[in-house]
This record gives sequence, structure tokens and C-alpha cells, in this order.
Amino acid sequence: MTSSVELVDALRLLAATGQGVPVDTALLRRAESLLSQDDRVPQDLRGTLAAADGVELAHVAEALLAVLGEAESLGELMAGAIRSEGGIPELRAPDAGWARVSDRLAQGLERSARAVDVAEEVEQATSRVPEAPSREQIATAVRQEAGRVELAAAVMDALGARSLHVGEAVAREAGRVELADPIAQSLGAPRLPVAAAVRAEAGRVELADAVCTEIRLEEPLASGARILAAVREGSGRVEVVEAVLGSLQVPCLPVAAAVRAESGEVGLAASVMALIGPEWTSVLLDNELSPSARRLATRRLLEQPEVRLRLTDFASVGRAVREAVALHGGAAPQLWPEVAEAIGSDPEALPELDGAQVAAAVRAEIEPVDVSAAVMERIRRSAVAPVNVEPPVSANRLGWAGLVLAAVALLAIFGWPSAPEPVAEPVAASAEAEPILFAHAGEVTVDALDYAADTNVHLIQDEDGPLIIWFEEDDEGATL
Amino acid sequence: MSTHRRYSWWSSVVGRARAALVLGALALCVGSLPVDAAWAQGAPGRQVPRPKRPVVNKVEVQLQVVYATNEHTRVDPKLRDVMQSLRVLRFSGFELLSTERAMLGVGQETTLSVAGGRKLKVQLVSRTEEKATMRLRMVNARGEQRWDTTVSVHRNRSFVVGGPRYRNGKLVLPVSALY
Repeated sequence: MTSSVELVDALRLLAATGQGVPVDTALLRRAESLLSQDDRVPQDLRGTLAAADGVELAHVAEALLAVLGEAESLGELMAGAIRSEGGIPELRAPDAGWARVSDRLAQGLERSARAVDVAEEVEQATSRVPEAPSREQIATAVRQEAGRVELAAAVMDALGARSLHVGEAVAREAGRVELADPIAQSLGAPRLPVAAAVRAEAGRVELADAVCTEIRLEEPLASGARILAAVREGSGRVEVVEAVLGSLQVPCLPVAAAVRAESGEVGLAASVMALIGPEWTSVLLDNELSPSARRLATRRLLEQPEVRLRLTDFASVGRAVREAVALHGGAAPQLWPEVAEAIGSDPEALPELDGAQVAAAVRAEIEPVDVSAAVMERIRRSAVAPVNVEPPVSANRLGWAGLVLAAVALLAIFGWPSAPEPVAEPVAASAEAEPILFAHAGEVTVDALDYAADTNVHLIQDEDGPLIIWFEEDDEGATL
Repeated sequence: MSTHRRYSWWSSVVGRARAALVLGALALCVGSLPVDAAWAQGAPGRQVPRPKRPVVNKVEVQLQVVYATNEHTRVDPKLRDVMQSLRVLRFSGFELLSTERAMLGVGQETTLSVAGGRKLKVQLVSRTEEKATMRLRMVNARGEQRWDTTVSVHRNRSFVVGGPRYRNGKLVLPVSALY
């Protein structure tokens, strides 16, 4: 190695010696020896190494390398000397943290293309930077950059072919039926006028659902009975039925109207009156005949079996009507005593009221009750039986009269019997009552009948029932 | 009771032996008089087995006094066998108040007590192997006769008279001719 090369290496080692680092004395003496003999260094600088120590020795070594032309740059010492001599301010060294911030920002903004909220990422990246902007400022800036995200399209795309069920899902989740129609409309589903009609009439969603369910499952609009049953089940009110059926344009079953027409009392009453005369038919049943007229009517009934049959029919219809009304409306309370007291009338007296006006007033107060079906059912079930009581006709009475006259004549011959009246034998009170076996038709006859003027008599005997002689007393005095 | 007609007062003397002679004589007198066949109606009845009774020319008349009302729905267990027939009267509750009985010969009369102070006078008008004819007269508590009827009924059969007011209902009176 030449002395010049050996001198440069030694100077580089000495230039790298920092503060506090021990100086290699042998290297320093060798560097001083070589420097004193090197012709490229001016004579004034050949003793500078021996005069320096510490940091100053490193700076001197760098300056000698620069003089020899072996330094790569002027170095910080030279740069400082130049800035000091030229009046240039010292440059601020760059902060390595800002490089990391830049990297995180780049990564977060890249992900924002796929995820909406990058504010959190930015905040995490900048949390260690004292001068970083606030979270709100960053979030606002990010949202301004990201714009609005169209969620609906993404959701619908995800649902794909099942989009038709969106309406149902929404309705189920929302719990309100009102949403279903606009959704169904937006989906292009046809609206069901039946449901709207039912809702309009019934005003209850449950009712409409029941009806619509029935319609969907069964043949639409053809099964009026099923619709009617569903409506009744949902509403529990008879009055709704006809309105609903009308809105559905389902013709009401003509049965009810027919029954009403047939069960009216006009036709039956007319036939009865044609048979036994209009002057006393109804008033007989209402106990409004005068005593003499009632006796005449009763005699005609006894003499004309066919009239009794028709009158029995008439009474049966009335009884069936009353039973049906009671069945549907419940037992009627005793209204008249309170009414009479309220109007200052005698509850025991029969007021002279217009029956039609009373009936109209009652109908105005109560709700209509359809009893036709029940009435007709009971009428069909109940066979109207003839009254098998033969009348005591006048010819027979003449026979008794003749018998009496003859007996009187013979009694005049033989005298009145002197024996005491026969007395019935008592029956032991402890004896058990005999079982009752009622006589059927043909096993009992009414031979004679007489009654007080204020009494009405009804002979009742159904086909298999007992003979009943019923004495209806208008005024028996005090009720016993 | 002036408005009443009395058709069969003759029956009060027909039980006497002398009356038998009268009837025999009258048979010739009144044989030509028109008599409605219905009065003698007597179609064969059902042959229902009943307890055999000795026929001693007497008839045991049994009267049951039943209170029928719509105030309740209770039915006296003693009336269980007849309820099917009484249901036609359209009452909901039935109570057996009493049972009255008397053994009557032809022409004999007895008075049976009915609720509310009423009396029912029963007279056996006639009796055959097939049927008995009874005259029934109802008298109210004031002693006024309310009605008077004569009924022929097959032996061991019953019929019903009814209608008198009692409490808040009516009285129903099954009458039986047992022999």
C-alpha cells in the first residue's frame, strides 16, 4: 500500500471517530507521520493533526480528506460552515410519522371504494398525530367524497326472484295490513275488489280476511253459504250478512223471503176465516168475543171437525212463532205491569190499545230478528194433529130431552126415589198412585160441556197426546 | 149459574133399580131418536198390560193436582212418566201437589180437593167393560161452579183437564178411571 493511500484510510478512520470514542493513538501517530511527508498537503496543515483531539480531530481528518480530494461531500461540518459563512438558515429534518400517516390514508381511501365508512380508519391512522383534524371533520370530509349509497337496489338484487314476497314480509314485520295494498299495487298485483267491499261493509279487518280466505280456498262467489257462514263467524251479527252479500253481488238465498211470505199469517188466516166466518175467528182466539158469540163459535167448532183442524193449524203456527221468537230473543220479561204503572193504568185491566201501533212501536225499538227458518223448521217437525173430540150435536141433545121427558112421566107413576144419595167409598190414603196411561184418540170422548160466561174452552189432542180440556178463565177473581 | 146448561142430571138417578125399569120402558120411546154415533164412540184401544183389577161394578177415580209454571224448570220426579204428554202445555216447571182418589159406583159422587180452595165434584155416570163415563164439575173457593163436563174414557186410561190459575201458573189435573 502506498503512503498516500495509507494516509487516506487513516484519515477516514479518524473522521469517523465520534465524541467519547477513544482515539487509536498508533493510527494517529502513523497518520501524522504520513501527513508530514505528503507533498500534496500545504506545509501549514502538516502539523494540524497533532494539535487536535476529540471531535475536533474528526473534523480535521475530514477537512484533510477534502484537501486531498478524497471526500464524497463536504459533509455536515462543511455544509454548516458554508451555511454559516453564507448566512443560510438551518433546514428542518423530515418527520418519519408523516410517512405512516400517508400510507394509512392511502389504504383507507382504497377500501372506501368497497366500504362506506372510512372515518374510523382515518381516525386510527391519525390518532397519534397531535395536529390531526377531529373525527367529525374527517368523517364529514369522507362522506362528502363518498356520496349517497343506494341501498334499496342492492337489497332487491340480493333478494332476486323472491321480490314478490317483499309485500308479505313487510306486512308481517310491520304488523299493519294497510302496507300490503300499496306494496301489492307497486308490485303490479291485481287488487281484490271483494276484500275492499267486505272491509267497507264490515269495517273489521279480521272479517275481511276470513271472507277472503274462504273465497280463495273455495270456488269464488259461488258458495254463498260459505261466505255467509264466514261472515257470521267473524261478525256475530246477523244484520251484516245481507249487506256483505249485497256488496259481493251474491244473490241472497230466496229461501228466507219465501219463508217470510209463506209464514205470514194472512194466507192461513184467510183460509180459516173462509171456513168458519170472518166475524169471530181471530177474536175468538183473542178472547174478545161476547159470551153469546163465543158460545156460538164454540158450537160451530164442535160441529165442524175440519174447522177445528184448521184452527189447530193456526194455533200451531202461532205457538211455533212464539217458541222461535223465544228461542232467538230469549224469554220475554213481563213488561205490561211496569208499563201500566208508568202510564197510570191498572195492570190488571186490559187497555184498549191499537195492536198495530203497539207492534210498530215494538218493532221500532228492537232489532229485526230473522225467525223464519226456525219457525218453518218447527212447523215441519210438528205435525198438526186433529182434535179427536166429537161434538155433542144438537140431535143428541134432543135425545136426552126426550129421555128426560119420558123419565119425568114415569117418575110421576113410580114416585121419586127415597133412598139416600150414593156415597163414594174412600180409598186408603196410603195407597200408591196408579201410573198414568193417557187415552189416545178414539179412547176418550167429551159427551157434554158447559162453562161459565167468562171462561174459554180449548180442546187439545195431538195424534199421540192426551186429550186436554183447557178452561181459560178470564176473571176468576183473585189468583189463587 | 144461570148461563150453564145441564145435559145429564138424569145420571143422578140411573143407578137406581127403578131407573132400570124406566130405561127399559124408555128404550121403546126413544129408540127412534137420532143419536150421533160419535157419542157412543168406542174404537178398540191399545192393549197395554196394566195391573189386573177386580171388577166389582166400581171405578176408582184418581185425580192428580199438578202445578205448572214458567217460573222455573224443575220437574217433579213423580211426574216423570207423564211429562212427555204434558210438554204440549208449554210450561217449563211441573210440581205434583197432591193425588186424590175415590172408589165410585155408578151414580155415586165424590168431592176431591184441588189447590186454591177449589173442589172437583166427580160422579160416575156409567161403567161398562170398555169405558167409564164421568161427570166433572169444578167449583171455585167462593162456591161458584166454573165448568161442567162429562167425559167417557176407556178403562184404565186418563185425560187432562186444566187451566185454573194457581200462584204464578196453572193447575193441570190428570183424571184417571181405573178398574
